[in-house]
Amino acid sequence: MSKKKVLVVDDSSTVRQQVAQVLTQVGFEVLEASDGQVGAEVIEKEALAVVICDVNMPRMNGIEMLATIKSRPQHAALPILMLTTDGQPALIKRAKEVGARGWMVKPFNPNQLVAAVKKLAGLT
Amino acid sequence: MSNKTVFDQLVTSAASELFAARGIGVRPAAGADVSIEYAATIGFASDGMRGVIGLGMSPGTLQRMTTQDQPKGTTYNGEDWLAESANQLLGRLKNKLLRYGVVLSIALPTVLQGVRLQFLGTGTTTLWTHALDSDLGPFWVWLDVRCNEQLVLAEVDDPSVEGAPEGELLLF
Repeated sequence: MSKKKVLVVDDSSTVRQQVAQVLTQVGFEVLEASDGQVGAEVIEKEALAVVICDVNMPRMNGIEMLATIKSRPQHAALPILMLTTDGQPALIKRAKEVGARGWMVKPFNPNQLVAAVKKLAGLT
Repeated sequence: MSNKTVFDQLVTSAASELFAARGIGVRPAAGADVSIEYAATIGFASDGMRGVIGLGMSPGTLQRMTTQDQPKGTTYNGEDWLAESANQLLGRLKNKLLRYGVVLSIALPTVLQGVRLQFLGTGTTTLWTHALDSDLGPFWVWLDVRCNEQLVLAEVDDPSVEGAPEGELLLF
């Protein structure tokens, strides 16, 4: 059986490596994108189980990427988890309205991230 | 309490929490011997305020911190690690400032390398520096903040402005 694919969109290679390291250990295949624009392109091409997305990024930020993806009917059900340093209530509300399925404030707890991704991927 | 006092308290607690989360103990230091050859800076702004936060350290401290933080089998890019650390430091500060009714907009990090930074004045009206020591070497955190004269930071009695804490997971 092929592994479920998770895309991590973050301009920090450190964060992408952290997330990839945690999720590959529990059997996910992890793809990476360095900003929202690249992320949107990968989402168009790949069959993904979950997307993990930063907010503050160059070219296209996470909220813009979320809005772009959610405007496409074929991706309406794709679970997107925002992973950011920002805990601002107005921004969380905005992300929820646009279609995010979760919000996690960095630094993340690896076990919590795995549990969230498994839940969003429909594995638990 | 002055705006500087509020910022001093918030930024030192944010730095301590950030490094503690990575298993690195941090304490105040004299700072005179800290050589800053790598620095990550991020600009920020809000109503009545604009500024820059900086996180700087020597190559040796940066290498030790990066090595300690990276999982086995992984090699972090030191500059990216420093930029993300500054980003998470400012994120913590931003979340703490929500309690004061301040909503910061933040820019992307910029890393300076190949320099030797030195603070020419400390305790001035806008440049607030914090020398810190850690198990892995000394480092500096600084803020250069320009506030409008009318801005007085005071905690607001409104739980709805509180941000989600670090490590918080919300599923919708």
